[in-house]
Amino acid sequence: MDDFSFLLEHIKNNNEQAFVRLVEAYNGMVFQLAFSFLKNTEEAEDLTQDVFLSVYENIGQFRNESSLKTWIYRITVNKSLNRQRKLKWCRFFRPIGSVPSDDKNLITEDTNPQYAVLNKELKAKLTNAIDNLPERQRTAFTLYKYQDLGHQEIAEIMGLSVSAVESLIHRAKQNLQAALAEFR
Amino acid sequence: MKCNKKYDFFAYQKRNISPVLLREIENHIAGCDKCRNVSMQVKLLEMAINEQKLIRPDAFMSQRIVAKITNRQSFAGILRPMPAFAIIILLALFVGIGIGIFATKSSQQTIEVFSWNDQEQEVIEMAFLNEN
Repeated sequence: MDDFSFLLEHIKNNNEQAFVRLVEAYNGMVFQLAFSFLKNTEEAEDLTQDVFLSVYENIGQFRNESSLKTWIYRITVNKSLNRQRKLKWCRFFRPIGSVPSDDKNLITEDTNPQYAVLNKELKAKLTNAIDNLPERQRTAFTLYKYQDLGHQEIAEIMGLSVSAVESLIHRAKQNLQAALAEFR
Repeated sequence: MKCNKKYDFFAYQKRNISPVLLREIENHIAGCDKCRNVSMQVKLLEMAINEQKLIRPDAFMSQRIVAKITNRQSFAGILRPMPAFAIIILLALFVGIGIGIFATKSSQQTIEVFSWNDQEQEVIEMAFLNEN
């Protein structure tokens, strides 16, 4: 079963086992989405913990207006965007030599020869093009490309209409293609 | 070469377009450097995205999350790091202000110092002046 909404009542009644099941079911999804925004495993893990803490603390306010999965997605997107904004400021003030080791857990050329053509620098350059998109386009594109979500689901997460999401994804692709045209 | 064509190369890379459009794009990029380059870059970007999609959290992450939340629960409302830090800062501030007020008050105590220029003396001085 994809959605674990049936755990909801148990979690609201402080059933720790139910919460453990929820974490086990969704921690991969939350981590992956956080990583696709933050591009750093430590930050993604920290954010994942933060998301589940929020879920635990605010589960009483969840009113079944959307599915539990959509609600968790929404929390993750909001927290990821906030963290991304914070990290941009931190990077601005950080000395040049102290860049953290991003992509630590990435599958590299050594572990997967299929991707030997993509070196780390090129990957960073390509994915930075996504980071430079406007916030709503970036969110819609990330959910579409990294999470393989449909337009309807993205619309629910972002609180927009399906046509608005289609338009955001279309503009994101056009902007990305324009940015990629500069690369050689 | 300047080209104003706006093809969806993401759909083209996934062959998620009609056969007619597919043929049209293939014919176009055969003669257009700019679009051929964009198509190649989009392909590389798709590969980079697919690579990132393979990343999984380590097996113990869910345990760490649950442990952190349980730990936090036991300290809930008593001594969370941020409020504790704020309380310490506020206490230090009040103690500092208190010491400052006490020190200022004690330095303002009037001490009577007898001086030759006191008013009583001036009368005598004037008397001397008048004599001359």
